[in-house]
Amino acid sequence: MQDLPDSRSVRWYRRLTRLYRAPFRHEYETEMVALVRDRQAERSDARALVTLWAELLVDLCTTAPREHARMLIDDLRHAARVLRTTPALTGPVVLVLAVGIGATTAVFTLANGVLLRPLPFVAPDRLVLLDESAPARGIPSMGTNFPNLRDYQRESRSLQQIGAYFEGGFTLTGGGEPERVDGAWVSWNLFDLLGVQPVLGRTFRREEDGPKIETAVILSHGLWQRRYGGDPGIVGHTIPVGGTPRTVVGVMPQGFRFPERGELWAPMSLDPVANTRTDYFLTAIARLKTALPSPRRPRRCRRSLPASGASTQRRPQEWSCPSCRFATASRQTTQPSSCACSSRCSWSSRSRARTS
Amino acid sequence: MVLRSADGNPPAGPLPDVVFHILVALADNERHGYSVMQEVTALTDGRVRLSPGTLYGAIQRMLEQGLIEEVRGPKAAADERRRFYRITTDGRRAAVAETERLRRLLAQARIAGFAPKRT
Repeated sequence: MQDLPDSRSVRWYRRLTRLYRAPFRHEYETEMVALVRDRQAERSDARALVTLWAELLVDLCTTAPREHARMLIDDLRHAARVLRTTPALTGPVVLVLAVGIGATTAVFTLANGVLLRPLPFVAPDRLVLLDESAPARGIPSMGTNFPNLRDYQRESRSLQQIGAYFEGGFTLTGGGEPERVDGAWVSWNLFDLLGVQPVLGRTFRREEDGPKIETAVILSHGLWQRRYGGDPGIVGHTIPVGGTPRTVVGVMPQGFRFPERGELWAPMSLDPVANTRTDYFLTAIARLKTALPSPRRPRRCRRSLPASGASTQRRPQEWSCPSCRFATASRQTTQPSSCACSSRCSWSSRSRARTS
Repeated sequence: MVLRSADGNPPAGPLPDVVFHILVALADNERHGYSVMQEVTALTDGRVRLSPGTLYGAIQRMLEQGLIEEVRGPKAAADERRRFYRITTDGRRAAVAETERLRRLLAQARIAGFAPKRT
């Protein structure tokens, strides 16, 4: 007897049996397909076909995962039985596995947080940290100070925007128990630089970040919900922050915390006179005009930072004359060919070459 | 009667509905899968209709537990390539035990007034 070719439905069902685990499929695929063929032969009208396929799909969705789970349970049961018979081997194996899995998880968690997961900011590949160092004093990282920050902002060409912050705690009073929250004092443009927009209100304005101006504050979503009951009219209200009344100008989006646990932000409002170049407490962040093409770019970026005024005085040894120690205030990236204090000494790179 | 729960052995607890239905369908005759499905549908007045995955998943477990066994189909069968199954002694015992369990359950339900009392 010659078999008739399978209908499209049967062919499709045969393909879908691949959802079952291989041993089960090899054992029963032919039977299952035959059963579908018989079911289809009972009635061939469109309604019956729809009903049949509804049954088959439900059946596939429930029994295929069950068969896979069953195989897994069988394997685990077999493994447990084998391990139970050899406890001297099982103990060390379980211990090694536990330590291995724990260590791997810890390393991955760290790598995921630091290397893999992108920063929660717009175009994070264009964000850089501006950090100063004093290798001669053994300080590899020291942040920056306010005058240097202003120099960077004024003279940088490769950076689109530069902002800064320093962490701090705030005491909230009024309308309930006093509460201490983590937060940061930020430059007025920091949130725009990061590309984070508030869900209510706005970010800080330039005029709110002046010396001794203490008027504005921005809340995190969590703090807004927790302390102020998610009041939609919170923007424009004045709340006491550390004894000073400040106007809430915005509420940041849910999940946004900066830095790390910060829930409240106020403008830095730094005084350029009171904050000198020796006051290193700022963390500066900048947005590049173009994305970093390679990891080498930050080094070039650091060299191109401005070297004006007193900021140059921080590194006189790079430019000082070997004879009279006169420091040259220059943008040159190579050593000058001669000393700029021509009236006090006659050193030049040629004379140096001769003496050596 | 001995009901065992380890791999390859009959189950110790109540039988799953599908398994019991298949055992009942195979009680008087050896059948292939489609015939089992038809018999279950007929015995339950169409309330239970076994789909392929459910049917053959149950058949596989019942074969492993020794409740049914595969047999050569009758030569008179329309398609000799079909695989036929027959209830085993263990399968029959399991079905009897399940029936007894259900009978006791029904008796308790009658006492509680959940089912009509026998006349």
